[in-house]
Amino acid sequence: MLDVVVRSIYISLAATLIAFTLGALISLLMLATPRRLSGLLVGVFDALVGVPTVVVGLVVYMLIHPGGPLGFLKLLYTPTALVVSQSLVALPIVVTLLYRYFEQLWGDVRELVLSLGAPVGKAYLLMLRESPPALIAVYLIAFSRAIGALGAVMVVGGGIEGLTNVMTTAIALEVQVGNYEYALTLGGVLVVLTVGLSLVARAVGGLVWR
Amino acid sequence: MVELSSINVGLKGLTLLTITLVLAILTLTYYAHQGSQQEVVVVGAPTILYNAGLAQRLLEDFKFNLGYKVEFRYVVRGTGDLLRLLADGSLCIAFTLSPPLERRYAEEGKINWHGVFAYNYFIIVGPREDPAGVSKASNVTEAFKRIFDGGERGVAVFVSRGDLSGTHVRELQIWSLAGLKPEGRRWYLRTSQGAPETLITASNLKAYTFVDEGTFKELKSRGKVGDLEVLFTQDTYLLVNVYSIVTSRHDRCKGGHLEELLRSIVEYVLGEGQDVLEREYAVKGVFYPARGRSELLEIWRQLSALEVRQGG
Repeated sequence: MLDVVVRSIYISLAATLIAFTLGALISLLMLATPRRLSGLLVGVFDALVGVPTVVVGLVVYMLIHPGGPLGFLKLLYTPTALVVSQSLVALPIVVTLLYRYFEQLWGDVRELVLSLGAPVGKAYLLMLRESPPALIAVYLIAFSRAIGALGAVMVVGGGIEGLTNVMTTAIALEVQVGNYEYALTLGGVLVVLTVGLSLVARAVGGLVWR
Repeated sequence: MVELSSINVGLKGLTLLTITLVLAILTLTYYAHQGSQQEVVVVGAPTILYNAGLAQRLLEDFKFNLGYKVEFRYVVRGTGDLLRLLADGSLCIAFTLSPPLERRYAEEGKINWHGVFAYNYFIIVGPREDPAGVSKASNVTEAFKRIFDGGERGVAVFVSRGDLSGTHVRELQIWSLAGLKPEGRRWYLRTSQGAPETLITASNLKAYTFVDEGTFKELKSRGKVGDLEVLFTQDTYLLVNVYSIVTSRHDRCKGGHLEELLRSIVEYVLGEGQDVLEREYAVKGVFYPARGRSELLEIWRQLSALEVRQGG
């Protein structure tokens, strides 16, 4: 069981890192785009937040299976394929949350600083100084979404023992053979893990930035 | 001056983000290439064979006896899914258990069907009280008819896999032979899940279901399906569950060492591997080797020609 848990954490942390980095870039770029376009984009990302992960998995499968456009990369049934799928699963929520956060903060901070007669650059600095706790929260939400994805990783990873079997696929496979108790234990570990990580990160964030 | 510092902060942030992204990708590539020294073959196995450990046992034995340096990994799915993955070239070799689907894919030129390597029997299980009187049926179509009548009278419920697995396909064939259309009836439920889950569902609902004896015995021995009993068995081709070995005809699986490896796996499973089945599985009454039972080929033919009617 331990190897499945470790693999899950590793893969999902990597996926979250990618999703978060891309999401941060996208949301910062959206701040700089005209309001009409960014409004449209945010609507699209909002809608994508709830897409069943199995759909994401199927899209990735179509890209990376041997006949697909990226088939030559030989990613099917590898941990890398899991990371790619999970980061796509987590990306929309990162974008919507970060964009809203930046947008609101940007407005508030800018007005405040400008009304005090300070330059625009100060407002920008202030915003980033205020951000880390929120960024951590968004990161953790994305991590939860990534590690909790089942359909996506089942399709592209195959749930192969010792290679691409992560907690969700292990739970699904155990349920498939009627081992409800074992599956529930794994589910418990998954919940404890995400909750625990969230609490630790919050505590650390609080110590460092408050 | 001020404008400059704001730009600096922005650039710093972006640079930091880019660096983390690059690092992440590098770590990943390293991780992905780690441990891929050995030749790897991904094998498709139906849930039944994987859970019984049969697929793994056969291939480990193959490696051991023939001295191949190869690592087998297993993708565990229903036959319908496995055949699709074979057609895509996502898998090169698989064990399957659905003659009509195997035939369809073979005729489309997507797979090579190599033969039946094992068999066991399908059975009808249901509540001990047997409200539909299935155990009194004289043949399997009559048994299905009794379930249908029981369902219409409101005393019986039937749980179907509904997932186009080998078991589900056979069930559909028998309904079809009996001239009945259960789809859409209130008492006909579909789980879209594997055999064990479907059995547990049937057990919880005190319902009838159609299953292979291996899976049932295994779950029964673990006390998972306490309420269900075997109500109907018969030695008819309609209830013979045939397990085949098939390979993909996708370009990815052709040529060189891989093709040769696949061929020797097939030869082994149909040849020497039969001893393993005889020794370790036949005695438990779960799976039987196909060797020496030439009638299985005829059974496969008959089954593969039977109509599969799906949907209401």
